[in-house]
Amino acid sequence: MALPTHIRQAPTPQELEYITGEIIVAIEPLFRMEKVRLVSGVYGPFRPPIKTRVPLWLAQSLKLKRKCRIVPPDWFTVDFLTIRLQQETSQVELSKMPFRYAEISKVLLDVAPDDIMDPDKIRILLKDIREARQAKCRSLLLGLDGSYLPTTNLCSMEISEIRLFFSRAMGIIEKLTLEAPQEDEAMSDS
Amino acid sequence: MTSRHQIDSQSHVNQLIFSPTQNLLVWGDTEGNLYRWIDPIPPTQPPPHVDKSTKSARREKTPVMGDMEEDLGEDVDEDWIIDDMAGAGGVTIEGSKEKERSYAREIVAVAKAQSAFQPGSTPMKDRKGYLAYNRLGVVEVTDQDSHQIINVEFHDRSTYPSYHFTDYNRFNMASIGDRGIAYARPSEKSEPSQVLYKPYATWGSSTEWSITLPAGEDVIAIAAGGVTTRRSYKNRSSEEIDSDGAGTVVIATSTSYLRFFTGSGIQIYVWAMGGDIVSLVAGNEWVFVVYREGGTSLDGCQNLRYSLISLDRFEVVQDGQLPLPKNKTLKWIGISEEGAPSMYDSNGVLFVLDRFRRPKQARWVPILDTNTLSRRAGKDESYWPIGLSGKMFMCLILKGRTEHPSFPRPLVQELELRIPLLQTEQPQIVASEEKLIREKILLSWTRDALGPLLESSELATRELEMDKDLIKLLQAAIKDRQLQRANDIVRLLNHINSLDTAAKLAEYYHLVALQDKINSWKKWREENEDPLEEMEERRTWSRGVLPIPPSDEMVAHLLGNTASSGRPQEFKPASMFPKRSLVGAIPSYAQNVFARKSDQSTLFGKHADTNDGPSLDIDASQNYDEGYANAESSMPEYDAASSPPEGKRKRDAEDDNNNASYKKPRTGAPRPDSTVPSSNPGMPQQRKAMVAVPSNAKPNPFARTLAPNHSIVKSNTFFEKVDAAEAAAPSKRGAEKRQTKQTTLFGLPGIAPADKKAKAIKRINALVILS
Repeated sequence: MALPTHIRQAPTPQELEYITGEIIVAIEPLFRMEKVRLVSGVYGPFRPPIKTRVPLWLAQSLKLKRKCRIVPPDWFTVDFLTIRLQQETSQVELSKMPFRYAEISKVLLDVAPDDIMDPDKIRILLKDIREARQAKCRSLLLGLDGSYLPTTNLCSMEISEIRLFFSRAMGIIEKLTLEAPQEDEAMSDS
Repeated sequence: MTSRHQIDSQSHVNQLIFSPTQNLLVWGDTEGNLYRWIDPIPPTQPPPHVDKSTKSARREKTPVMGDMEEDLGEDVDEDWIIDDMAGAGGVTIEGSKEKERSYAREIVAVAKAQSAFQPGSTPMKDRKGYLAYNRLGVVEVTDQDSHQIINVEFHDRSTYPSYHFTDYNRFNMASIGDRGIAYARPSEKSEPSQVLYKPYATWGSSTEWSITLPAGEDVIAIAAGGVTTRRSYKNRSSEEIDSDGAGTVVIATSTSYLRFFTGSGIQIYVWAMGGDIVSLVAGNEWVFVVYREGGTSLDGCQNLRYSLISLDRFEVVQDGQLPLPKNKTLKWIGISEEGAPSMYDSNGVLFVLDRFRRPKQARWVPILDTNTLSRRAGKDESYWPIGLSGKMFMCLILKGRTEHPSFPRPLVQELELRIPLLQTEQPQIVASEEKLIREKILLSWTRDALGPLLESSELATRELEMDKDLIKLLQAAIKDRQLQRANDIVRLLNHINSLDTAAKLAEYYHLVALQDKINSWKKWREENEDPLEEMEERRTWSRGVLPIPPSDEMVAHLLGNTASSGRPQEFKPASMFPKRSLVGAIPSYAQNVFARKSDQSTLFGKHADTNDGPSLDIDASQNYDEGYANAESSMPEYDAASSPPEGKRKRDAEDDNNNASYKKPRTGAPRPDSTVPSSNPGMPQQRKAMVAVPSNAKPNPFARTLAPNHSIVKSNTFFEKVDAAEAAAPSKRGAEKRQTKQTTLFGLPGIAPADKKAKAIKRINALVILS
């Protein structure tokens, strides 16, 4: 978004990460505070050890100041990701992953690895899932034609990756497909 | 029929019985013969007795925590206590089990008595364990042979400083209180039992203290309590001044004593509890003690009782039985954030004590049955309690069959409370009913804790919320044409304005009968509800126990024969005043002896209706430190022997107003009074309400400047003393003496109380007319 219009095509991963900051996560605060009114909303009251729900950006900031413990979302466990990986590798279509799983995972693994069970295993699993999905995306693009491309369960990072190529390619193919019959006629004429 | 024996005799068989131990049949006949038939049942059939040798062997268990398995088929829970007193004992239902299988046993084993435990503690595993875990923090201990490392971490790092220390004393009990942490250990071989208390506050130099118990007395359980802090212990420059001291420490010892210490180590009380104390937990206002008075019972009952003892005056706030189901043990006790005691049993049910602020009204209510949780379906989970707030149950979720949390520390989870109601076809209606009950209970706690306040905005908003839910239920009931149900719901509404909404709703649906009912109910409520009255009622609970005043002879004896020494209002039986009022034509001696009693009875009878309960006597006697001036200023009125009767009835009403100003609200919660209304409720009313000083009143004998000018009387009889005292100093006794001389109302110096009390005059007139 910060780029000039002519080269702005898709959000960069850093931008996506920033946007993901809006997602609400649960934290266990380590400090006691009443309700606080910030520009984006009212958060709190913070009563340890009761969990509070705050946006990810706030959780990140508090964690960096060592004032909270982030509770990983339900899907962020070894069991769940193993099952998903199996689905990913067995099916042709993409499996259903949380829309912003890549960004959330990145933030959590960066900031709060100590709050996660088996962070290394999770890193490996995530990497495997991502590679499987990328392979599927590539094969998807091979089937590109001028009109539409049915696909489901694309996640935000993947969308932004293929968006640039995808939109341009689709436009060109569309033009080509339209021009083809005329050319044929032209060729057949002459 | 498998075997047969012919009895060929003329006699008839009277009684026939199988032997419990062998294959033997015995009978007796009318002739007095006893026959034994050995092996009546052929070996092809099962024998009629139970072979003792078929009893399954008890599983051998190694004393390491990791190998605990549960015996699925039977209801036996065997826990081994591993080198740590803090482990909870299990109940072996040997009695009932044996009874089923082998009725050969004569001695039936009683259910194993649960041993004492600290709530929130675990046995040591891999040299690590938890000593205490509650909503404030965690105490972890690591065993390093020669010493232990105790690590204390708080959930709220901004208020309390976490710390750790090396512990050579090997404490194995700890309790995290609001003001400090108490540690204890029992005696071991040569080392006596010891208690250590580390308060959080660090002002006033070194504040931790330690105490050793004598040989033969061991600490069994320990609890640290105190008022929650408002300021941060970390932030030294905090503005708020926190004057509540360092809390209270309570220990239960093997000699069945409950010893109380202040936060600085002063021994302040010893209570011989008797029986076995099972566990203790302390909160802001009281300590919750669970004990067993006798033994356990034959049918698996642990026979536990509980007591709620206030920390400032050591009064029994509540007392009763702990409703543990049979064959179940107590796993955890705690005090919720609002001060409500709660307990968790081995069945997975959480109970909370409802109406704990009302004297004699406390009862246990189940508020969560973890077996019916939706998240539990299909999984093997157990819940390890940490704490309870009004809305959530804080616990650790333990996967599988693990019984105790291990390291690293799992996160505290919250479970929503849900009272186990019966399920009907309409689960959403049941769910709203459940929500209503729970909310009602919580609201009643908040309302009880209002104390001297009449209302609170928070309470009002919550009641309004509840009313909104009720209106929704009402709508559902009306749609279903369940009008009786609708009527019931209307009666549950809290605010009178909601009744208007209900009436409108009924009108909209053209339910005239219902609308009429609502309107009449509304009128009744408007007339009969009185928040002032409720506040009065609350105030009666907060009065402490009224000490029984001694008899007159005792008073004189205690006061050392002086008429006006010390604090007369404490010891002087208030009954002296009613005597004046009921003076009639009764001979002096008889009057003095009997009048008091009859006075009391009339006073009781009279006050049975009014709600004034335990009297303001205690106010007077206790107010001497709070408001000595008040008491003093009311003294002159004694001589205004004016119209005691005039005062009495009026004062019941007046008293409310007077005491509203006199009574100083106590810090902390109101203290319920568990005794019956005391004697002489009328008394101090008179004292307080008589404001006017008649012009010819005698000088105040209780004023400090007045030197007691009495003579020491050696006679024994009370009345001689009275006479002598009266001769010496005109005082209260003067009034009494006047009684003995049979002065009547009219004989008394004419008094016209200042006309603040116009009513008083009316009363005088009334009495004049009556007498």
